[in-house]
Amino acid sequence: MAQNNTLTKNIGRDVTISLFIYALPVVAVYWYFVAQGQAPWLNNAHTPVAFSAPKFFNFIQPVFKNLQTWGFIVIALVLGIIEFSLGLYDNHWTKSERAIDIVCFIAPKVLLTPITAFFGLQLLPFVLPHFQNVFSWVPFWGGVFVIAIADDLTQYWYHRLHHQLPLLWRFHRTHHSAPYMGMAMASRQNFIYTVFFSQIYLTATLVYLGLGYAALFVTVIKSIITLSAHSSIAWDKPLYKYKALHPVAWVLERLISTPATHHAHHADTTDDGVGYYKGNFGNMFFIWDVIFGTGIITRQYPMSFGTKHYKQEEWYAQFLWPIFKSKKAGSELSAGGPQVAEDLPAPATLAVNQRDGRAAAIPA
Amino acid sequence: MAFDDVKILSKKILIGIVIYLVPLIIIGGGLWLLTHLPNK
Repeated sequence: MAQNNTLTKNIGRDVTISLFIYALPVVAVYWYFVAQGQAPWLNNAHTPVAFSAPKFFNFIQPVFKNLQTWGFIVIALVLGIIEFSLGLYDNHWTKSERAIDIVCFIAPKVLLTPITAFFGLQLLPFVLPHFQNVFSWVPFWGGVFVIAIADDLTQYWYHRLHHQLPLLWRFHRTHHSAPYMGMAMASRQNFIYTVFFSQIYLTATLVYLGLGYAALFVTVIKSIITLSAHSSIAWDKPLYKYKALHPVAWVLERLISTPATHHAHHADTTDDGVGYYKGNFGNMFFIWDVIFGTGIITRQYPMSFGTKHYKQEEWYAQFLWPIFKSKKAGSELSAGGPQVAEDLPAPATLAVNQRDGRAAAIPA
Repeated sequence: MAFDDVKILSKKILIGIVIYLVPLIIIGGGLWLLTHLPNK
C-alpha cells in the first residue's frame, strides 16, 4: 500500500512538471518573436518553411517522405537484414515468435492507416472546422520544438502508465515478451496498445493545425532513434570504448534512448544491475527519465531479454488480448489470469553465456 | 470478451484520451491564446 501511495504521489508530481514542459515550446516561440519585435500570430503572417536535406541525402529522401507508409518498412527491413546477416538473433526467433512479430509488423500498417486517415481527414475537420492551418505562422524550428516535446513526452506517459498501472500492463506485455532485441520485435505490440497511441492522434491534430513539416521532420528523427534503440546493432558501444568519445556518450545517453539504456528496459531481470524494466520509459528522448527519476543509465547490455513469466502465448492472444485469450494455464493473457504475474513467484531460469556478453533465458 | 474486459478496455481508452487532451489543451490553447493577444 505504501508503495502504491509513493507511486501515485510520484505520478502526480511528474504530471505537474510535465504541464510546464508542454508549455515550454509555446513560451519559447512567443519570446523568440517578441525579442524580434514581431507578432506573426496576429495575421497568420509567417510563411511556412519546408525543411530540405543536404543533397547527398537525396537518394534516401523518398524513404523519409513516405515514412508513414512504405518508408518505415524499408528502414526496418534493411536494418533487419543487417541484423540477420550478423547472426544477432541466434536461435531465439522460433516459429511462434516469428508469427507474432510478422503479424504485429504487417497488420497495423494495414489496419491503422485507415483509422488515422479518418481521424485526420474526416474527424478533425468536423470537430475543429475553422482551425485548419491556424498555427502555420509557427516557424519550422519552433514547430519542431513543439512536436518533439508534444509527441515524445506524451508517448513517455503512455508507455510509463502501461508499466506502472497494473490494469494497463497486459496491453503492453506483447512488446516485452520477445526474448531478443532487434528489428523483428521493434513493432511487436498488442494492436489495442498501438491503435490508442495518444501521441499519434496528438501529432495528427498538430499537423491539422499547421505544423505538418515540423511533424514530418520529427517523425524521421524519432524513427531513426527508436528503431536503433531496439536494434541489436549496438551503435553506441564505440562511444563507451574510446575515452575521447566519453563526453559525447555522456550527453547522448542522457538525451536520447541508446541501445544500452533501451535494452536495459527490455531485460527480464533487474538482479544483474544492468537490466531495468521498471524504468527507462523514454522513446526518442531519455531526458524524461532523467527529469522524472525513472531511468538508470547503463553502458552494459543485459544478459537476457523478455519477461520471466512468458509462456509463449498464442500469437492471436498476444496481438488482440483481451478480445482473444490465451489457452496457456496461468498466463497473464488467459481468461482469469493474473493482471501482473510478477506478483507471483517466478519460475526458475537458466542464463547461458553467449558471445558478446549476451545470454538466453531458458525456462526451467 | 467478458464484462470485466470491456471495463478494462474502457478505462484504457479513457486514460488514452486524457493523455491526448492534456498536452493538446496546453499547447493548442497556448498558441491560440497568442493569436488572441491584444494588438499592442
